[in-house]
Amino acid sequence: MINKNQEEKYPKSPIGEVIETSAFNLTIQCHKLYESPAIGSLIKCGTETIVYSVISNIKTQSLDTTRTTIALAQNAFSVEDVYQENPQLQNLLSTSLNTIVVGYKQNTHINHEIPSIPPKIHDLTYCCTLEETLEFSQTFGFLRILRSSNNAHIDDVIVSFLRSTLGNSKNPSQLLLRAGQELARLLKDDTQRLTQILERVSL
Amino acid sequence: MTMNIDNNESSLGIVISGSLSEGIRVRLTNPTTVELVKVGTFVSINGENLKFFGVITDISLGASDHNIEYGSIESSNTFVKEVMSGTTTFGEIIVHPMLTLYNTEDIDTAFEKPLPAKTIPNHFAKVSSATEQDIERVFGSESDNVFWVGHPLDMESKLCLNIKELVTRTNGVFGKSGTGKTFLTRLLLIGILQSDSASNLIFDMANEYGWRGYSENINEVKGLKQLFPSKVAVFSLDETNSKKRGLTPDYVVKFGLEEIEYGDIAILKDLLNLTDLALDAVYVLEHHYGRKNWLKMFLSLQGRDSISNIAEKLNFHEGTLISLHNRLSRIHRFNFIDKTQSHQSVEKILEYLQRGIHVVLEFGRYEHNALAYILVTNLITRRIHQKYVELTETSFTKNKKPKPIVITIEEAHRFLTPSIAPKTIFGTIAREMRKYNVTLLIVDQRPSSIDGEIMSQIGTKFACLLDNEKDVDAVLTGVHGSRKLRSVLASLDSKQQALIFGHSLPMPVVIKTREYGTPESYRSFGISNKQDQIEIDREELFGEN
Ligand SMILES: Nc1ncnc2c1ncn2[C@@H]1O[C@H](COP(=O)(O)OP(=O)(O)OP(=O)(O)O)[C@@H](O)[C@H]1O
Ligand SMILES: [Mg+2]
Repeated sequence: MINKNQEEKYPKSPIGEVIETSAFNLTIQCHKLYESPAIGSLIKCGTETIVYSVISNIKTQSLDTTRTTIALAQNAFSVEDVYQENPQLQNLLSTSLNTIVVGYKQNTHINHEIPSIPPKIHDLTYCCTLEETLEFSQTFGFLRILRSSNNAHIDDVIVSFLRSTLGNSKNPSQLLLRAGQELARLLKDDTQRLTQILERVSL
Repeated sequence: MTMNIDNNESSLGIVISGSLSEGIRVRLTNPTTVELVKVGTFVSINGENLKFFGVITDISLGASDHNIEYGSIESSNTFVKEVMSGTTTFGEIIVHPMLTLYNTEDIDTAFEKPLPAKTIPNHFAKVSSATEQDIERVFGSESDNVFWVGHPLDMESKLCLNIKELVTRTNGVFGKSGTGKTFLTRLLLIGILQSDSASNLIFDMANEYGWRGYSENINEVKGLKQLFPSKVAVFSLDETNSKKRGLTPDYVVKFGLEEIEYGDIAILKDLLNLTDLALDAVYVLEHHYGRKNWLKMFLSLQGRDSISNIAEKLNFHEGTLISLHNRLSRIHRFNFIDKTQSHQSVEKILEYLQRGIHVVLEFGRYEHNALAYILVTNLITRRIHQKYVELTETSFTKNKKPKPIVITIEEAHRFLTPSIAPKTIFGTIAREMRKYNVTLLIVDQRPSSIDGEIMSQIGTKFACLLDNEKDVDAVLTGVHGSRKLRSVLASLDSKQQALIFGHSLPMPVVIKTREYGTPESYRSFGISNKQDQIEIDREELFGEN
């Protein structure tokens, strides 16, 4: 269910909209409960300036933060049954994403930099297709931005990004090598960390 | 008009640090090249204003993270290794800049000769392997007085030597046994012959220069007489042996006993095992009987009584003279020594040399006889030098200098050990340089046995592989920046490679010696003389006579 958007080749409908914005991080609320791209996916928002970001976390929680969710599944056969029997859950819960801004596109030109003006609240957000992701990853300068984010789990995000998107391209070894070399330059004094990332990417 | 100096260069890397004394550190751009670059390779560096030429003297591995050096990073994952090589781990080379020239697009200055490097390139200057143009720029191209001796390491280009420059000094070919000294020397001799800048006199101890040389690969290679019959004469000490090998020598060399002097015996001191006292006796005998007669008279003494008589007269111990008599009789027994009459061998050699004919003196059956070799070589060289001193001194008035001579001696350390070099003619020639138009071409496998002062007088050195530390030191002492060349010298191939440096070259260079011994190699000398070519063709058609 989570990977639904990835399987669709050309998702035309937005996955959600921006509900919190800054130059470095965005929070996106998904339009449908649980319907989010995977961690490490590239998403885009904005119209004139398209801002690209990589999903670093996915959260589903009660919309009303004053009310906590209670356990409902002790007598159910499956978790699907729980949702079917409690249709109100679709309105009480919501899925949101944290993303790290990695670049933007202006007049067809892609920059691996922070946009000078962040997206607006309610900007519609789309999941990038494989083609778009590959277009964005022609060079790997954006890995610098990812690496310097203060997310404690950033290495896992990077691994997910490289594994899923580049692994699905036509010429994965070439691209992975170039991505790997960029990482090696960024982590030139931390080979331990570099080796761990690379070993996981190459699995 | 502009000229592109940099086309077709294959880039190696960029300059990251360094100094003039320690060399320039260059980081290789392509990590896979580490195993392909070789010490001794000729490279160019494109600085901002200057183009540098240099030699790779060391190759090393670097890493941006010390954990790699400590071995705490271990990964058998090929992807990890692939990514790290060239980024986290990389190859480095040390280049010693030797020459510079202005990195200009202007064609007028583009042909200027490079100058010795007095500075180093900037950070990030691009380093490339040298191109054919670079080689020609630095060493010249094959033309009149420039002779192709080989190819720079791993290159197709021809490396050329200025023979005219070369023969103005005493030169040396060194290397342990079987490394290609004789082959290289033969090429140098051909270079001298073809440039006509001097006449060669070759003391061919092992019968391999004049007629039919030996090769490990193809058994036999042509001698100089076979390639240049009209320009080379083979003189022989042993006619029977020469004929057996298919050659009628141009002249059979003999000496009369009266040609041998004190100095000729002095150089044999060790070989004949003579005491100082015995040498003194030679000196006194020479005075007593006269320079021309002393040996003849002394050796003609028969029996103990006649020797004791003389001993008493000259105030020597009888035993000293008896043993001296015994030892000098060895000379007496050589077939090329004539007890009865005098000979004109040295005059004949001189006559040929003056006419510009190159003389190879074969030793025939005496090929491994050190006594014969040293005696004859010293005897001839001493007298030729004497003659040349006279000729040169009178030439000032006549305004005609004698034709320069290059004397080639194999096993040169036998004449040039520190104990005898100062006293022998060879030491004199090496020291006085070209003053009297005589220079030496020294061929030797034990340069450490040669007097250091002589070694430092050598103009151009051709060093094949040497593995003895002392020999390496001996070859490199007195050479500016020699420490850097050590690694280059030590990593030469065991055959047909040489590091050449010195007077006649703008910078040191490693070469693969030009091929010698195949029909193409003979043809490549471009033998122009019709008669010579007919001879060679005939031989190729019908086999050697
Ligand atoms: N330029 C060359 N062309 C072809 N073969 C070569 C060349 N140089 C060396 N060789 C090969 O290497 C062998 C040894 O060379 P060479 O006889 O010149 O050695 P050397 O150093 O003179 O040895 P030694 O000290 O025993 O006299 C030759 O017989 C030949 O096969
Ligand atoms: Mg030899």
